[in-house]
Amino acid sequence: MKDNRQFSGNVGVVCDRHGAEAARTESYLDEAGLSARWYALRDLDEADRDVIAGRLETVIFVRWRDLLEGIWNGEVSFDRWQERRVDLRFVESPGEDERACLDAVARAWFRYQRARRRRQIASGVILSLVAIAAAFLAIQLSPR
Amino acid sequence: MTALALLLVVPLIMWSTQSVLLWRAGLPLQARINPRQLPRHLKRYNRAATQTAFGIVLLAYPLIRGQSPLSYYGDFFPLDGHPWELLHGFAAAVLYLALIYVAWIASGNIRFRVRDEPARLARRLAGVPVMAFLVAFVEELLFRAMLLADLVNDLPLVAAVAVGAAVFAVAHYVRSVKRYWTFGGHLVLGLLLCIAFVCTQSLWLPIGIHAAGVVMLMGTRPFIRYDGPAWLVGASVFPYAGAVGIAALILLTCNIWSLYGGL
Repeated sequence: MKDNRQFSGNVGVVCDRHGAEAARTESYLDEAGLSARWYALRDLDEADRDVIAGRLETVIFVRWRDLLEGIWNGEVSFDRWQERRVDLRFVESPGEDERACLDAVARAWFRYQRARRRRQIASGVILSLVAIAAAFLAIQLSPR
Repeated sequence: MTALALLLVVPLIMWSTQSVLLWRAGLPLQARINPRQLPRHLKRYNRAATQTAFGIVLLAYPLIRGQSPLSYYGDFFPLDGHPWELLHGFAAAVLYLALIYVAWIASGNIRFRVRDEPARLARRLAGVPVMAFLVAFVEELLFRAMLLADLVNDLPLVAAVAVGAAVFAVAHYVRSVKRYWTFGGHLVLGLLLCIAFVCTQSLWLPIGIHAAGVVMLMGTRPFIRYDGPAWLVGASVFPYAGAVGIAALILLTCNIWSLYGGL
C-alpha cells in the first residue's frame, strides 16, 4: 500500500494525531495511498502558512466544519488557498447533495456561534473584572 | 415621612393627568401609568404635568417645614471645598463606565454601530450634557435633599438609606416600562447615591456621579449595540443592571465610603 502513494511531502492533514479521529483519518490516508504531514486543529494557522508558501498542495480535513471554522476564525486565508488551487479533501463529506451540504454548513455555523458566544462571555467576565478592579484602585489611590 | 407622603402625590397627579387626557381623546382609562398609550399630540401635556408635579413637590416640602426653597436646598450646596466633589464623582463614574465599555468592546459583548444620520446624531449628542445635569439635579433634589434628608430625621441612618434607595428604585417603575429585571441595578444605584449624600452631607458628589452616568449612557447609546447576555452587560441604557454593572456600583460605593469617611 505504501508503495502506491499518490502524493508525498505536499499533502497536509488537519487532525489531532492522538485524538479521537486519528484512526479514521489514518485509514482514509491508507486507502487513498497518501502520506501526509499532520497538523492539529489548533495549529491550523501553520497549515495556512504552508499553503500560502506553496509547501502544501493538498489539504485533508476530517469534516467540513473544521475548514469552515478555520475560515470564520480567520485562521485560514481561503482566498489565497483558492488562488493556489489547493486540493481539498474530507474524511467525512456530505457529498454532492446540496441539501446535505447546506445542512453541514448550517450545523457548523450554529456550533461556531455557540462556541464564539461562550468565548465572548468568558472573556467579557475576565476583562470586566480587570476593568472594575482597575477603576477601583485608580480612584482609591488618587489624591482627593 | 412628610417627604415620602409628598412624593406619593406625584404618581397620583401623573395618573390623574393621564386619565383626563385619555378621556379627552376618547380612549379607555388605564390602571397603569403608561404615556405610550397617549396620542402623540397629548404626550407633551402629560410630560408638562409630570414635571409640574415634581416642581410642586420640590417647592412644597421646604415651605411645609417653614423654610424658603432657596434657603433649604441651598444648604446642600456648600461652597467650602465641596464643589470639587462634583468633578470627583463625575470622573469616578466616567472611569468605571469607560473601562467597562472597553472591556465589553474588546470581548465582543457590545458592538460599535452608528444608528443615526450625522445631523440627527449631532442633535442628540448636543443635548446630552445639559439633559444629564438637569436629570441629575432634579432627581438628587427629590430623592436625596428632600426624601433622604427627611428620612434621616425619622429613621436610624441605615434604615433611612435603605428606604431612600428602595424608593429611588421603585420610582423608576411607577410608569409602565419595557424591562423590570433592571430593578436590582436601580436599587444598588440608589444605595450608591444615598451613601454619597450621607457621607458628604451635600449634593455635589451625588450629582457628579449621577450626571456622569447619564452622560455616558446617553452619549454612548447611539453608537453601541449589546450582543452579550443581559445578565452580564445589561441592556439599552441599563448597563448597570447586569452583574458587572452591579459589581461596579458596589465597588464605587466602597470607594465613596472609604474616601469620604463612611457613616
